[in-house]
Amino acid sequence: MMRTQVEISNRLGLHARAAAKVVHAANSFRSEIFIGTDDEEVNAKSILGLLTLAATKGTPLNVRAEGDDEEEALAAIVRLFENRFGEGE
Amino acid sequence: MSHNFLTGMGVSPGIAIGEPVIHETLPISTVRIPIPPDEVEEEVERFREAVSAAVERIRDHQRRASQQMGQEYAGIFEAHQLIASDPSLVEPVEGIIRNQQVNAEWALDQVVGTLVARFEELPDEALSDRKLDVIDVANQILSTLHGIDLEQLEKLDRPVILVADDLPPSTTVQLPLDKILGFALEMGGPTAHTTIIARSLGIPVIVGAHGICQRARHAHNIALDAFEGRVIFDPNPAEVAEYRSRQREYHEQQSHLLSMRVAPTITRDGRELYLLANIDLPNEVQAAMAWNVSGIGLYRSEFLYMKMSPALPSEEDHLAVYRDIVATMGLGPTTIRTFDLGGKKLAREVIGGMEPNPVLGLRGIRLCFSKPEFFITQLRALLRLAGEFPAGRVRIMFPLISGVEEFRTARLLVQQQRADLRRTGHQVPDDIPLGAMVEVPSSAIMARELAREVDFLSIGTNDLIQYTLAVDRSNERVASLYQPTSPAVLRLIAQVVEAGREEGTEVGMCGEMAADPLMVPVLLGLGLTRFSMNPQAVPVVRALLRQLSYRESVHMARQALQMVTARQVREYLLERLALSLTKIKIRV
Repeated sequence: MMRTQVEISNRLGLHARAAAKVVHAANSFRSEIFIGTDDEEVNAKSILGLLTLAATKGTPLNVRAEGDDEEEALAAIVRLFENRFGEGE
Repeated sequence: MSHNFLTGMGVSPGIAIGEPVIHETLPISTVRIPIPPDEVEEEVERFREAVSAAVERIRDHQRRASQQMGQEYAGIFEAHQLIASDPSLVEPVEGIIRNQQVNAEWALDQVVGTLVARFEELPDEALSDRKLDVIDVANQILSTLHGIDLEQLEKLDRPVILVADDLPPSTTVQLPLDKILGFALEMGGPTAHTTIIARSLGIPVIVGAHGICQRARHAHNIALDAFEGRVIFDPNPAEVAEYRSRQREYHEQQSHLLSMRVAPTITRDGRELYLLANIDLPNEVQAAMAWNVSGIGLYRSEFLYMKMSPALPSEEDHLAVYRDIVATMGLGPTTIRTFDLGGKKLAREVIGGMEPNPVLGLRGIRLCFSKPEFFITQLRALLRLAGEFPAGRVRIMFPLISGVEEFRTARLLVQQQRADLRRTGHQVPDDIPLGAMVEVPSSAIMARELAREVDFLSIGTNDLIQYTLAVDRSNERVASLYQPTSPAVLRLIAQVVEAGREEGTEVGMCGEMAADPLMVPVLLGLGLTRFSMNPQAVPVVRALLRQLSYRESVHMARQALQMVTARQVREYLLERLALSLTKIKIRV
């Protein structure tokens, strides 16, 4: 199992389209991937789960992956957050 | 016989065996329906198929949206696809189906409820609004669970039995009817538009089959027995063989009847009778002609209003439709009944509000009088129509006449309009036959007096029975009291036929009784000569009349009139007629 932390840096937070990108990224790996706060963790392959996190700008999130491709999975998710889901701002 | 069946009411005769296709039109119901343990995995599979179909459909919408509005707007469909196949939606639904052994709709509804509640708790309004996406997607899955939609129905490429909750006429007209082996409906009735269309095309129909949509879901094959009003799910080979053989028998009987269509309608002892058709739609005249009827005994003009609703037909609209019917009918007379909206017939826009007791309310001729602008438009069209054809081809009949005064008022309106039309240069003949329907007991009791004033009388048995026995036959709690063999009803009919004979006034019948194989001999015996019925009933009634003797029927009718209860009459008739009915293969 691997874990790391990310921060939401785009203005709109983890909204529907951003969440969709996370799910797509997560779905391309075999590993189980979870994202959450210290209180609540959700399946990164579930858009409904991600949305109910209600993560706004500046929220720190834990990311955890478990499986034979966990390293690549974690890197891909981190990259998405760092790129602000490709939204530029 | 397998217990795997459901009963309804057969309203268009015939037998069909085939693959069921489900089409539900009503708002999605998510009632909890237990699933037998051995069908639980099939139910899960059904849910999975609905999810993939919903994803497919959303993808399709996405393609269209991105072509029409650009990539940016299509993004939401991306999210919808993910929601539809989201593990936190799909897994709990499958769990509930398996653990609680319930239908997929119910399970989905439970899970969606929980998800929506979770979204509602979110502080951010924009995120909380995402519950709408969840609901939207859930509805897409639900509608797929509901069976195929109209668009898919139109593209049917194989013969099927269409199972539906309700089929509005607007849907029926869009169906590829050559692919429909039969209809099994939760709602509807013998006079529903879909029933009428199906009947004229010889497609079997069962209505009132409550729960059929749910029951047919897991069936690969169903047999429809519209004689018994029975639907059998996944019939076994013996049952299939039995139904195939009955289907063959019915087709043989039909072609036999068709071959006899030009045979005269005459009893064994030489009494000649006239069979006429009741129609609702202009294109039914053709079907009636195929069975060699003597004329149209009842054209129910209200369908013209329903078709054009909420607009009202103009004088020219009326004239065009009627002209077509009368011209197609050829030499026989066409009796057009002025509009009989009201009662329970959909006419909210016409009456303007519901009545506490519509069957005893503003309907029939009363409604005609209360809406003179409608009525006069129709009368003028009818009078002009009569001017276009030889005398006697066009006859006007007034519905629900309850006494002489009402008929006189109607006749006065006809005279006024005739004078008015002539002043404006129209040809309107003097001798247009005007008749009254006898369907209120008061008119049957006063039949002598009425017969002196009218050109013809036509007995409408459905309402006459309903009003005489105070029974609404669509009310399940009292429907069994609706008894056509009631001696009270028979005596009223006898009185009307007798009044006509004494006054030299033509008396006919256009109610369902005129085609009831059990009642036809009694009516013959009472002296009735004009039987008007749905075109499809004509060949059977003709075959029956050809088996009967007028003299024996007179005796039978006299006996029946002396009896005390409906049951006594029914049993007597069944016994006396067993042989004749068997000869023409009729089951009563």
